[in-house]
Amino acid sequence: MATPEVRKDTEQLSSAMMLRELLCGFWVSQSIYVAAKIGVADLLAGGPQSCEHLAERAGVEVGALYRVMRTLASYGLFEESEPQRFGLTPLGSLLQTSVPMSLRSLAIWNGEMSYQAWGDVLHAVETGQPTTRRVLGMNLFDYLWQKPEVGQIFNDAMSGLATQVSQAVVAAYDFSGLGSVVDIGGGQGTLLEAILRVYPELHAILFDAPAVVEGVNRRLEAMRLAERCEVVGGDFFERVPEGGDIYLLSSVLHDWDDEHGLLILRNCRRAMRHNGKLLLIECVIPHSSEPCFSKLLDLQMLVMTGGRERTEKQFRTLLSAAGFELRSIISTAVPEHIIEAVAV
Amino acid sequence: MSSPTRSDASLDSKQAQLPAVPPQIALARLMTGYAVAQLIYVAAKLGLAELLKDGPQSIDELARRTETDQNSLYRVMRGLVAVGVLTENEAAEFELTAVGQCLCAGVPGSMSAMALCSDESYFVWGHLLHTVKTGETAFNHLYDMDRYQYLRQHPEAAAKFHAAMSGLSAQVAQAVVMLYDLSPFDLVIDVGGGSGTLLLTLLRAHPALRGVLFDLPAVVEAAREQLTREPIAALARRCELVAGDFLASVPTGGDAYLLSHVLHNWDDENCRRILRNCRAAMGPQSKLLLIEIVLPARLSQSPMTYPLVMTDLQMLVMTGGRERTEPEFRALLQDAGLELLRVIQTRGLDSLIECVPV
Repeated sequence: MATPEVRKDTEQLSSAMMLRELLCGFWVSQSIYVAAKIGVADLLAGGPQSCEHLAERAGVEVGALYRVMRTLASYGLFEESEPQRFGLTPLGSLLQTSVPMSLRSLAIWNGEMSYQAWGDVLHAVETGQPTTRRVLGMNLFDYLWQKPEVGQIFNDAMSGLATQVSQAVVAAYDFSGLGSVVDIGGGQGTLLEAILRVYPELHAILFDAPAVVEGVNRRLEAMRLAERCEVVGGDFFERVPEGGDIYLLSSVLHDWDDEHGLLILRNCRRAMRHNGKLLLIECVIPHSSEPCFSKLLDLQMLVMTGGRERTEKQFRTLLSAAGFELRSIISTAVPEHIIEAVAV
Repeated sequence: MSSPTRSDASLDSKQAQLPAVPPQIALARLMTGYAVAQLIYVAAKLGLAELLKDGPQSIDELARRTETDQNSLYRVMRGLVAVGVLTENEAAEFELTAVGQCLCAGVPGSMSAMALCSDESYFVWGHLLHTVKTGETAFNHLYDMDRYQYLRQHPEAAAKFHAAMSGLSAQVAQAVVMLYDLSPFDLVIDVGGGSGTLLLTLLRAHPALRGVLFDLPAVVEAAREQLTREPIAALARRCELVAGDFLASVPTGGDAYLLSHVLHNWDDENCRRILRNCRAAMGPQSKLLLIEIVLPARLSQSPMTYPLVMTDLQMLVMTGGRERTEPEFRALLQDAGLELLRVIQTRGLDSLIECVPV
């Protein structure tokens, strides 16, 4: 029988092990990054392969690859069906390039840019400034602008996330009865695409920076949505297109501090008519102290963009300052919520 | 694609009761591991656990005492709540959880020193891709020397490293005392014993036992300073300090030799050298105890497996060493004229491997 002392020892040991596990989180995420970067999951799409075959195809060293693969297998990303032979699991399948909700680009983004920026997080806490300014020498979005190849990884990564969010939004919100929807900062059009597919009468405007929306028209044509979706390039800090029944801002405000957020919201308000609807799709940080993923995402903003995730109260204040009233908050299957506001 | 039956069968009953997390959420969480780790590093670096160990504190007070940006610190504290290191009470004050308490210095099995030196590892792990592409240890690639040369040239880094290992040793030492009877022995020699945490715990548990702490000159000097401090000075009188290099030779005269977390830092060739040097120092009745992770021959997905293999990757990136399976240990020992008698699994990650001369 365990004495109280032994029990206390055991509890202490398991707490220490748990902390050690958290502290080694970057070992796991970097291993996932390496698997994503060398494209292992794509090589396994046709079925299990030997580690030797994988190493040869990916052009990497077999001994080191094996040790990474068996680690990821222990986390459930792959399955070692026979010794030194690996196949995909549902988790690992998401690292394939062209599957719905692929997380491959996000893993690469995390392992390169984000990892680098987080290496300097202490600086962010000491100064309140995003570390990207020090690590990259400029703000993140300017950097993405100047390095199109990095910008591409970012857009792909966000588009993978946007697929998840879009499906959740369409499932949680009723767009019927509306004539036109305007997506501000809509990126590659992932969210609009999901909405237009479900509502065949609806028309849309996709609005984002000219470089972002370049080429989106071809995609929309291929999906036969081009007729119902106009693509407009511009800058949401200057003005946004007028005339929509409902405006969307999906994961836009969290990239910006209050001052910039307010500017975007005021430009939306100016383009909208009285009683027009605005949907923010954002995490809402709960007031309670319960563990919550959105609190972690907030720090991603602290480090990367200088933006933030917000509480309901913070959204209410910001919206009200821009001439909106917060009407309701609708939860979805993803960490993001739908915040419904009306122009007053 | 794995068959559902197979993965269902590998779940234990506790996991089976939990609601299924969608794969994209589960993977996304694993992918944010670097952020979680950095939060804990920041907490250690700012000494948050020390400030909170006597009770909850407000964010104003914490920001003032850590000289940080209050708004950013609050967001970091909230992140630490999200991962279960802190809780936030109704008065918006922060408190340590049981997990968070392990970040305090001086508690048994403290992870504080380990967290403090994780910045070095974080930087090196940024280059795991290089190791996988080339097989070259990332550390050597970045610093143009191996980790042990580096520690020799950078006493500050070495001090941080040994402090970190000492935290782990305290966990290991407790497990060894509980599982292995050292009472038949008179003199135990801890080869590569670092700051002496393991050896002192053994001496404390066995009042008649004497010990030799054997490590590199700089390490032994640092240990000497620590040993002369109260309240362990009396204990330290039973402990002799010997400086040397286990790749060259090992002190003779012990009836028990310890190699705790030494072999996993080295490739097979160097392991054979270390083991042969131990064998040469041992008498016919001496025993050698290895304290190491023993990898199962075949891995399955389980929460108990992943820390084992993760440590293997830490060796891949940092030292060029590796974790080994029982047959791999057996083969190395055999080459050095030693025989593996038995493997005793501790409650932690490590096993105790008992060996005798052939």
